Formats: sequence, C-alpha cells, structure tokens
Amino acid sequence: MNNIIFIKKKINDFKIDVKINLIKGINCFFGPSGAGKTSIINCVAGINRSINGSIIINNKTLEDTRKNIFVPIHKRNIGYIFQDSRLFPHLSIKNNLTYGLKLNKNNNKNFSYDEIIKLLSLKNLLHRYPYNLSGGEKQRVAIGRALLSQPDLLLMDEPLVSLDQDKRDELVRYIVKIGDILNIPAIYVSHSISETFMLGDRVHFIKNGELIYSGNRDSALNYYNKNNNSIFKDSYIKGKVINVDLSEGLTKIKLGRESITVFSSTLHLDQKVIVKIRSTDIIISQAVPDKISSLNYIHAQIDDIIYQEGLICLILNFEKNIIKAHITKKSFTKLKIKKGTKCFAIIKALNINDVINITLV
Amino acid sequence: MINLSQDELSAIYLSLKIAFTASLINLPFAIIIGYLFARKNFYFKKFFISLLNLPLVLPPVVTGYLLLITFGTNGAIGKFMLEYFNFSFAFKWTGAALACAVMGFPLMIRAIKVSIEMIDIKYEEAARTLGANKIIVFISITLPLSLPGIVAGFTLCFARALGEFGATVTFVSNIPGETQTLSTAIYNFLQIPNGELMAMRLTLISIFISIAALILSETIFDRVIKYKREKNE
Repeated sequence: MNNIIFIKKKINDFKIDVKINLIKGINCFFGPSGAGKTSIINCVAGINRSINGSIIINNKTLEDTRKNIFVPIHKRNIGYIFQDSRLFPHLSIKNNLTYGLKLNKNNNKNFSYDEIIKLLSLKNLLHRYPYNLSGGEKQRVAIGRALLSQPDLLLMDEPLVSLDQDKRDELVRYIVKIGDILNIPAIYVSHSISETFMLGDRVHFIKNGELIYSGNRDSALNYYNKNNNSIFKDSYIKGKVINVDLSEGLTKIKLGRESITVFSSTLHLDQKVIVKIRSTDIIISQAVPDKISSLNYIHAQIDDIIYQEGLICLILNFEKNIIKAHITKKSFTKLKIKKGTKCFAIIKALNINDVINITLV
Repeated sequence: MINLSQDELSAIYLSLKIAFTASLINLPFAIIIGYLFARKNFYFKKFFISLLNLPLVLPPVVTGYLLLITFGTNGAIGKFMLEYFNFSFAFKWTGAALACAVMGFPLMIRAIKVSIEMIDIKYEEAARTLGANKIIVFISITLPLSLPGIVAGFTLCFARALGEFGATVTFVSNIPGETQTLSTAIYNFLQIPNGELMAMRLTLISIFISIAALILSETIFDRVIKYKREKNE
C-alpha cells in the first residue's frame, strides 16, 4: 500500500518541504512547536492546500498539484482528531459518534460501532451531551467518531495537550489499544518525547518545516539521544523489568546486557519501559566504581565529545544504546578522556524517577 | 370578561396573521442573507448591508411610500404583477404583511448574522473531515448552532410587525377587516369622539399579546440553548 506525503508550502516566511512515507500503524510526527507539523497534516486533510506536492493515501491520489488534482476534505476519507475534540455541542454523544458513520458510503467497515464503543468505554456516555463530559471523555468520543467514519488515514493533532497528567496517561492507554487494532496508517503529532516513544511505531522528526529523521522506535531513540545534546535534554533508553523488590522499593531494568536499578515500586515484571536519564545526573569514572553508594554503573564507550559553553557533553555508547552525560571542563581535563575511551557511567537509582511504561494494555 | 366586537376581533386576528406571515416569509431569506453576510466577502458588501438596514433608519412613512410606488397598482412592479398574475398588494392584508416584512427584515438578519458569526468554524471543519459536504454541514451543523439567533430574529421581526404602523398605513391604508391591525385600529379609535375606551381595550390586548409572545419566545430560546449550559451549572 502506498502512503506518501510530499508537500512544498510557503506560509509567509516559513517554508515546508517534506516527503514522508507512512507505514501502517502509528506514525509520530515529533518536533518543537512551530515546526510545521500541524500545517502538514492540515494539507493531508485538505484543510490547507500545498503549493507544490502530492498526497497519496491508500493508493488514492488526494492531491497532485502538477496534475491539478485536489480532492475536497469530505471526500478524502480521513479521520481527524483535533486538540480541542470539537464535538458538536448540539448533538448527543451517540449522534456525535455516528455522524461520520451515517455519511460513510463505502461499505468496507474497518471499525464496527459495537467494537469502538467497547474499546473506548463509551457505553455510559452515549446519552449525554458534550457539555457535561470531561476533557478526557471528550477526546475519547472524538477518537471514536473519527474511527467510525471508516477512514483510510487517521490524523491526531496533539490530542492530549489540553489534558492533565492523569487523564493523559489514561488516554494514552486507549490510543495504544487503538494502535493495536489499526490496519490503516495514523499520524500522531506531538511535541512530547515520551508520548512519541510510547506510541510511535515509526517516528518522524520534523524541524523548521523539514523532515530530519525517520526511523523505527529504537533507532529514533538513539537519534534523539545523540542529536539533542543541550544541557537540559534527557536521554531515553528502552528496557524491560526483570526484577521487582518491593521490600527495598527497587526495580531492576534490563538494558541490553547491562541493567540498572531504579527506586520505584509501581512497575511490574516483564513490563517494557523507557527510562529517562538526565545527562547531568551521570558521573563518569575510569576505575571500576565498586566502593560507592550508587547501585548503578554501566560500562560504556565514549563515542563523541561535544564542546559546549563551559561544559563537555559526552556521547556514551553501550550495546547500541546512546546516552548523554554532561561534565564540567575541569573534570574532563582531570580524567584525560578521548574518543573511544572505555569508562563507567554512574547513575544513582534515586535519580531515575521517570520510567515510562510502554506496555500499557 | 370583555366582549370583543367584530372589528376588534378581526384587528387582533389580522395583526397576528400579518405579523406571523411577514416573519415566516422573511425567515428563509434572512437565513441565507445572514449566512452570506456572516461568512462571505464580496464586492459592495457594506453597501448591501446598508441597503437592507435602510428600513431601520428611514421614517416608516417613507418606506411605505416607496412600497406604494413600487408595488401599488400603478407601481413599477405592482402594475406588472397585476397584468400578468392578476395579483395586487394594494389595500390587501398581503400588502400589510409585505410592509411588515420589509420593516422587520433588518432586525431578523442582524440577529441571525450575529449568531452565525459566533459559531466556531472549527465545528464545520470537523464535520467536513467526517465526510459531510457543504450543504450537509450547513443543515446539520451551522443551522442548528445558529438556532438561538434564528429564534431571536423571528421574535424581533414578529414584535416589529405587531407594532408596525407608518409603513402599513401609507402602503395599504387602514381598512377594517382587511388591513386594519391593532396599531392602526387604536389610532383610528383615538381619532373619533368617545373612542378612548375602545383604544384602551385594544391597548391592553396588545400588551397581553406582546407579553405572551415574549414569554413563548423565551421558552423556545431556553430549550434551544440547553446544550450550551456549562458543565458545572
């Protein structure tokens, strides 16, 4: 199946120039605010026009400026979940959900009404109106409404952005569930790195209107860790819980052949997680650090040394995982390390307090 | 209990009939024009808006006179209509309804235009992504969401039509049983000796009708905007 987005567009001084191949499943568009992510999906939806480009979804050409093809919004078969849910205030939840379903003329039904109601736990909301729904409930209805219009492509424009943290976690779980049954491509636009790595089957980094990297989750993690090396950026590493010690409150997470211990008692055995490590929380040692309080030290190699204002950023590599460590210039000269030097990265278990659980269902 | 005379009864009946007809005929045009004014930009838009608002600022007599020279039996359009369709507004209740419609039209358009302007275009966009074409979007989203404005516009037009005097009298005169409404009847009684009592009775009746109409429209309005209530209310 062909799903290609090729867009050239100019909005005042801002230029968008991307060519993106979509895969079946969730494609995350990650980038800072103002990178052009929403403009791209608005072109895909037909809300905006591209100046130059072609959009092919499910082998159907939706837009081709050279051949003068522009399929209007309502004929594109695209489900769009907006930041602000946009439920119709005058219709009951049931009528909101079936709005697109009733208008759908093609008979191939990917998503059945009963299935969606069950999957998104909408049964108790059906007879209510949007005004007495919470933000999270509204987004769930919006997701159901978009899916029931039987789209060939699902667009999600930061659907969690207006929710508080608890509701976000809840809704992410629903989106993961949707991802599991999705037999169409979906685009998930986000500027949150944790959402991106939780949801994305494929991650596309977008910056200044350009696609700078596309890859699967693992390679995207490494790309992100390597290329976002300013001092307040964190490293993310994928791992799996191999031991939970509730009496000590410690959880052991396997990262390749290495493992680290974190202070947490909310994780369960065999859960897949993404561990967030702050680059300023890492201590570099050249000797085996066996007489210190820290529970973790990882044997790593220094892949790269980046000189920054007053600081040194070390790109550490262990078993194809990449993490960053920031140290001062003084420590750097003291240690006399070079590219390729083997060293130990010491991380306090207490300093790892952000472990994102990605086996959510 | 007040025993109403034949003339009084027919004045009440005619008033209601004329006001209702005028508002009802105005409604589809006001919705279409209100939508165009709210959403579209076109050449001479301000000019058209001013033109349609003219009856608000012109003395009603002038409006009535303009109607007379246009739709009267010797008027430009009136003559043609009489000749080809054998139809005339002159001295008929339909003429009074036309006068009231013209007078109430700007009020109705204004209310509908404002309420369409208030609708967030985002809902219409969302409907389009769900597969609705522009006409379905208008019928299923725009129209129901502008219902409060439509009800308000209808009420305003109806109220204006009930009170219409100048244009009606000028255009179709004041004929009992045909064009005599409550307002013109009250005026009539005030012109004849000892007519004050009759005038007062009709005055009370029109107060009663007006209050009833307003209560009815408030009730409808409440129902229509029920969905807009905030969550915590």
